[in-house]
Amino acid sequence: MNRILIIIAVLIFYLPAQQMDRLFWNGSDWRRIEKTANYDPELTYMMKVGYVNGVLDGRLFYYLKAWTMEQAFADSLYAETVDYLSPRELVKVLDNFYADPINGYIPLPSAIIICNMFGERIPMNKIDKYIRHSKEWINRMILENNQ
Amino acid sequence: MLSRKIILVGYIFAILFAQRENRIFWDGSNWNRISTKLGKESHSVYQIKASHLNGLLDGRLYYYLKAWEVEPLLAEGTYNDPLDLLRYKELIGALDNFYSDPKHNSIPVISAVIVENMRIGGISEKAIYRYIEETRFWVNNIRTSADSMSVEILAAKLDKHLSKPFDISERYGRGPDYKQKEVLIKPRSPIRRDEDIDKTSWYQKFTKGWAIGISGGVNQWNSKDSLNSSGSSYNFIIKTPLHFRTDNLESIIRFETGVINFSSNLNGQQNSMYVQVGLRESNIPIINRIKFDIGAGSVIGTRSFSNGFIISLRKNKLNLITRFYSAGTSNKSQLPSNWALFSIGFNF
Repeated sequence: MNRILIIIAVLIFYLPAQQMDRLFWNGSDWRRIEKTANYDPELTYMMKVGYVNGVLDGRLFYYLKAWTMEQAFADSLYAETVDYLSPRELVKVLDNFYADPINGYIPLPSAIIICNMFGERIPMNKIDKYIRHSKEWINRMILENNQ
Repeated sequence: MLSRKIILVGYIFAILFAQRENRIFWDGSNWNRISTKLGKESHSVYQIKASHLNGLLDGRLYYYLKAWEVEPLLAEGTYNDPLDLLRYKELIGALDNFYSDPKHNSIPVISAVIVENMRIGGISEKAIYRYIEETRFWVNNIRTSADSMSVEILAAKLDKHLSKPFDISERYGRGPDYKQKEVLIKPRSPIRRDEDIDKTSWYQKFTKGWAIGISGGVNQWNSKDSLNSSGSSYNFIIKTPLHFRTDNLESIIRFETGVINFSSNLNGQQNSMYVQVGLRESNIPIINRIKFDIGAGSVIGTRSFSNGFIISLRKNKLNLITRFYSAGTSNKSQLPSNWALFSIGFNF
């Protein structure tokens, strides 16, 4: 009995700890939106497009700020194309991208870049390389964050 | 008279749509429109606003971390705005309050978040007022220059599109002598930087590409030959760095040297060079694991040629090899003219 209680306690402590490790919204959050929106397609879309617009606004705001401080640095940091797809297209491509569970833990800001690469018809081997790079990057960030 | 009215209405529509297009950030009007559309008391309003705020903070954190890896000092300077002093619920309430004043409608949501965090952080109202006015100034400035900018961006996008491998310029009325204008705002691919990092010199590739392995298996005589029995072979494999790879095709060159035995007490040295060619990125996974194998060398001092195929049981580790050998017949060596070899190879 005691053993069961200890296991439950460990699980209770462990699960929120796992949640805390996440730095960004990722595939599981993206898929959860539908459930949060009570499977209402319009509300789901509005939440998703709200998030995507948020990421793009956050990016643009700090790009402009960085650009006023150091132009070359800002241009190199924000070189990715993120506006090739319209928000509506982006939401659709992100849905497809996260339908594959293997992409689940890629952060949404990275997924937005990847989806735009799909839209731009960049060769698949380059996209695969970027996906692998994103996975390694987020794993490294989470490990460093834990330390 | 009627036509003038139609023109006027058309003009107003054009202006209104242009205004909508030139909005760069989500601002007060987007924020308030959510409540107008879904009803003020709706829980969905909170969910959409929270999603947007999550996106803002994720977008900021993502590029902060990217910037920090390259230029920590510059990143600290750029991303030093206070954004996390309020919880989402408090922040949404504060933003609702902020945007209830129509004169704040043009302030971007992200600036409003900074303003509310400044307020809770104890910054004086005078400084906050100044920040709002500065924000209003640069946002309006960007908006007014957006018309001219958008033309440049469109021109840049068109040039970028036309510079792609498939040329559609002729279809759009531009002759083959069309010269591309200099692109003002040229987006770059994010992996271009990675390519630079991965750039290794030829001698590094040459020293890195070597690998070794072993293989062992059985030989079976062709039944047409007078000698109908089996034997065995053991080989030491040297994989060379001469790997050629395209998006769909892969080829490897390797050497094998070892011992071959036949049951007629005939045994000796075997040396051969093999070229293995296979498909990559095929939709049928098994095809990606099969390579055709062509070899030339010597078996017990006699020239030999082989062809066969290799199935990777574990990619680059464990291979199932089937080869059909043909060697110059020699009465002295009593070699069979044709035989099949089945072996398993391990690569390290």
